[in-house]
Amino acid sequence: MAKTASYAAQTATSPLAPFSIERRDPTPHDVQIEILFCGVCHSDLHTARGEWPGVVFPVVPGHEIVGRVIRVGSEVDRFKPGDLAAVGCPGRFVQAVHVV
Amino acid sequence: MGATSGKKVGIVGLGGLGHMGVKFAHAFGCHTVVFTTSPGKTEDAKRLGADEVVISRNADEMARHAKSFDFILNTVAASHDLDAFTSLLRTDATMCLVGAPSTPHPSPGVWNLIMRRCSIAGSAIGGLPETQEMLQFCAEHRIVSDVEVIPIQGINEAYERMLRGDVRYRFVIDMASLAD
Repeated sequence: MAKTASYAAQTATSPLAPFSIERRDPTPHDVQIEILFCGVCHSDLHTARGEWPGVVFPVVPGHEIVGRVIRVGSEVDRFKPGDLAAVGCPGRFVQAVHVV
Repeated sequence: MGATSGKKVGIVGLGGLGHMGVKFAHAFGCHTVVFTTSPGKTEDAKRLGADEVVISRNADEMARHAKSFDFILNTVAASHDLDAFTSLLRTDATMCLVGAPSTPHPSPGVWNLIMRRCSIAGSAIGGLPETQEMLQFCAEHRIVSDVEVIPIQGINEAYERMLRGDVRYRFVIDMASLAD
């Protein structure tokens, strides 16, 4: 497990504020990236304010992610450290595409 | 879906999704028409690649485009009258919804759909092959988003500005600011 800095909404009515989350360890099929930029989608706002069903608080919104690969699992053959990568959506499982 | 060279394509809403829709439709060679409620966005829409801009609150302007579109991409994330746009579709054409309002659109009238076999469809985000193909197309055609980069500490103000439509056209968080 790795502690990761983030901004989270604690409830549907609280603003985003610094928060620490625990990420699971990467598996052999995962690509680990350092997130460089994250676009802000209206769906993030709907999520942060609990405006649609299924939101579990606290929540860290943001899915339009691009970053640089810092580590790849032993089964990964399409990415290597240093590559730019974007995360497919939804990104619960790492789904990465090459940024050209 | 009909958004190919020479076809008439409408983009409803000039926000984060809409401004990219304009760039793609223009790059596909479509006759691209932007629908906006903001007259102040007209010049920007043309700069982004629109051939025409229609103020959707102007009924006369809307009527001039009746039954003429091959495809309409509706990016508006607020509840609104869909009939205003299905009435602009030609026979067998589709309006695809990609905005997700938190309250439903009013139920659309079926007459426009029945008489011209029109469709209202929805779409989320493509899978990895489509996303990779999209990025490749963007690289080849030099398509990039117009963004305003913010530090993460500014996210709450950015949300408020999004609600006011005050962003051209996508906020992007520089994650290096997370360490500040």
